[in-house]
Amino acid sequence: MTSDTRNRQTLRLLLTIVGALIVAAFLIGIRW
Amino acid sequence: MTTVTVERPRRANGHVPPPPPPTGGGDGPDREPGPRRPLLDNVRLAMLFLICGEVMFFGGLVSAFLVLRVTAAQWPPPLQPRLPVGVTGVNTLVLLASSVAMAAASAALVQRDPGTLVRRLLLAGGLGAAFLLVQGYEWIRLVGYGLTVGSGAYGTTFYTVIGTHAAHVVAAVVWVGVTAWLAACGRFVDGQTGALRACAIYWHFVVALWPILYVAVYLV
Repeated sequence: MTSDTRNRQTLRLLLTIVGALIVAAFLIGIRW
Repeated sequence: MTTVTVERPRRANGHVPPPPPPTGGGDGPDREPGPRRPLLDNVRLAMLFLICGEVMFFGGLVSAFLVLRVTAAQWPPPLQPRLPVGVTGVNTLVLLASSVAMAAASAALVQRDPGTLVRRLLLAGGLGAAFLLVQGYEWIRLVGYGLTVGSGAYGTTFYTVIGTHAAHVVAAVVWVGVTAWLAACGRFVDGQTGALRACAIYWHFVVALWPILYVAVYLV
């Protein structure tokens, strides 16, 4: 596995976490 | 130890054709980055981590500002000064110009031209410093008109959001200054340009963030 491929996998994980946090914040904001 | 040789068909004139050049990888997961697929090296990944954190941080600040702004009965509150929209708009152009200078510095890096690189880095840093000076001057005027951090939600949110961005610009200007000094010492001519590329990514992020804050805080 090349460094580029490994970094892209890490980036996908990062964006998934950020997306989940944004959705969670949005849902909490609606509740608020 | 045995080596595997692949027989290539001979041409009609008897010569064996040379092996095909590397294609940049196939469609498998281990493919090399192609010409249209920029390499995601460790520097870019690290900066993306930082930028994702910053985006969430400023997203929280802007969300808090907008919630207070929308729920306020009157905005700006009575007897509070209006924000300097025109001067700050011109200042926005100054900051955007600094991003152009940084892009030009990156081009000079590709062309291996250290003199031009240092000059363009200093230009970008100088434009960033000019932005900060104008911001500081406007802040002094606003404080003189009575808008302070203790002036209710209006003053608190303004100084928090804009001040946090200004702190980022200060950090970026210091970073560019250090990078320009390293470039002047001949640091990046050997192709190890990670520090400079990280600085450029951060600079572009700080510049790109400002128009969003300007629209949200000054114009909405």
